[in-house]
Amino acid sequence: MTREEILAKATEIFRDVFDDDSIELTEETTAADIEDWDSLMHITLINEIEEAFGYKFGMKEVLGMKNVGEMCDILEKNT
Amino acid sequence: MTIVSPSFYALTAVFLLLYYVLPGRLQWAVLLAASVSFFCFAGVPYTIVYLALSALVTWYAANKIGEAKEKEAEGKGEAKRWLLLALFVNLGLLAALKYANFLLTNAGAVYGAVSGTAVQWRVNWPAALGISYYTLQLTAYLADCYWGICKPQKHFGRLALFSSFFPQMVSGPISKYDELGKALETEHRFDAENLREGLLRIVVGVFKKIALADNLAFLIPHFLHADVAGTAPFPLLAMLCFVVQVYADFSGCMDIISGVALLFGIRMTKNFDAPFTSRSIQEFWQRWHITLGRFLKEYVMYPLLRTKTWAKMGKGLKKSFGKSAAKKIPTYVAMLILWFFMGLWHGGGWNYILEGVWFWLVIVSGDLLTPLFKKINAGFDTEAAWFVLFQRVRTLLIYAVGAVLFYFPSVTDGLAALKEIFSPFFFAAPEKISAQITGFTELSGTVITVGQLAGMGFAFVLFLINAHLERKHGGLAARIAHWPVSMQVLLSAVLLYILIFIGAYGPGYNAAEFVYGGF
Repeated sequence: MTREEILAKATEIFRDVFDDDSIELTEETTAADIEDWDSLMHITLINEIEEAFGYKFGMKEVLGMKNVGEMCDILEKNT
Repeated sequence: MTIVSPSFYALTAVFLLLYYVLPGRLQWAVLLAASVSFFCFAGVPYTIVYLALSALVTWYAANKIGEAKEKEAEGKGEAKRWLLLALFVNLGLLAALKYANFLLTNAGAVYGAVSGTAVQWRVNWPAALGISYYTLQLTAYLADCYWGICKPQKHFGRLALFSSFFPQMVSGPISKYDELGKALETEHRFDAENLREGLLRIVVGVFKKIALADNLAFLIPHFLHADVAGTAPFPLLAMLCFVVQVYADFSGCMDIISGVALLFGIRMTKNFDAPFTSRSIQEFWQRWHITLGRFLKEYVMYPLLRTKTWAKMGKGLKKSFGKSAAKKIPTYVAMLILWFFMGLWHGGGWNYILEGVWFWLVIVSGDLLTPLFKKINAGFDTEAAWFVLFQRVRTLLIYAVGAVLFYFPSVTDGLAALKEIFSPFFFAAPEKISAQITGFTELSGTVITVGQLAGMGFAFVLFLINAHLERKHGGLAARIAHWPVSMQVLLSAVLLYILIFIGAYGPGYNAAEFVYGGF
């Protein structure tokens, strides 16, 4: 998958998880940019991403990702 | 020895001198010797065996985990076994030493109810100083080694220092190895800036503890005295005093701890970030005792949500109740477990557990009612000063309810106190309120002096100023740190002067135990 495709697919998942069609992901997007993306929703989001991309993140990755760009790096390498 | 006693500072001074005089490669050994000395003076000396055992098991298991992980896939099971074994020993020690009586009391109550014979089962096992803090810190370290977040420390002495670093043995913070462990591995040169900032933090911390927290602690039993039971303002004042006391006590303790660590060139992880400027209780817990919340989130709630059981729960709920339930309910269940442990961590008592469940209830209710709140809030500017103030006062009151449950060891007493605090203002008839105010005036001249009430007012004002400074500048000490040195010395002198006159100490008085020191 290209980086653009990963970002587009991730955007769909974000919109679905947060019930918000106005979400536009960029590489720099962080939890602070999306109103409902808090610690309660974080793992739900991660689980949905994993299912869609067929890749299981390690806890190091779950706790270490700083923004959407870093998530894309991992998915690009592993899917 | 407590961290506000002169002997603690004498001990710190001796080891500080050795720390900078001896070669840098011996600094870790000086700090370890300081930590062992502090442990023996401040705690029950023989209980250092428990700490040593936990450090030894953690050090050995972490290295075994590291070795197993090098074997990649085939070492996975082996790494997991070492992790579980070390967790079993560490958490087992914590459970036995801290919660045995809670378990025995409850088991005794059940046995008594079934058999009809009242029994009282108790053990007298003194817990090691700081066991609630170092056990969690070592648990996080083991998990981090297992997850590949940090590399196991090969040197036992250095891992022992990470387990026992003396400033944090009283009240944390619960640091990660990448934060504290790495700082302890580095050699530090004497830095006058660190000395200045460290001393300033210590002065502010001691002031918060002895001038504010301990004086407020003295007033609370008066406000709860049988003579004034049911008299409207008193239970409310007791509640507010306790909120400010716990804050001054715990954050003062953190100021002292971070100040002492800074003398040695080590910056501790932040444990407070202007909690009383939070606009929701969820935000409050991201700003209050930050490292405990972080530990429970990253090492309890997240791993639970990643288990197959939780994934199955989500799938089952999606089929039966739809997508929204599948997203929310598994998280709420994991959060309930987190809040149960948050309560239980404070001690073996149902009041602590109820306190944790109370915060869970508020957060879950807030989450469920979010769509409704959004509709209501759409009609005005939610950033308006009045609304921000309303949210902050609301958050303080929600926290205060938890604090009342925390204060009374008996759940029944805590609930009765809450009823007293909150009912008179809403339900009392005007003549009753008038009678209560008369009672307050009479009492303030007898049991509680006008001077004490003025002191309480002074503490409340300082509390509000400090909350404001924390939000803007990172706290009183951080704000003063930008002033010219002469002004810093002058203000420190003023704080110490006030401390001498109103500090709660003197003949026959021992500085009260730190509220969070008992955990």
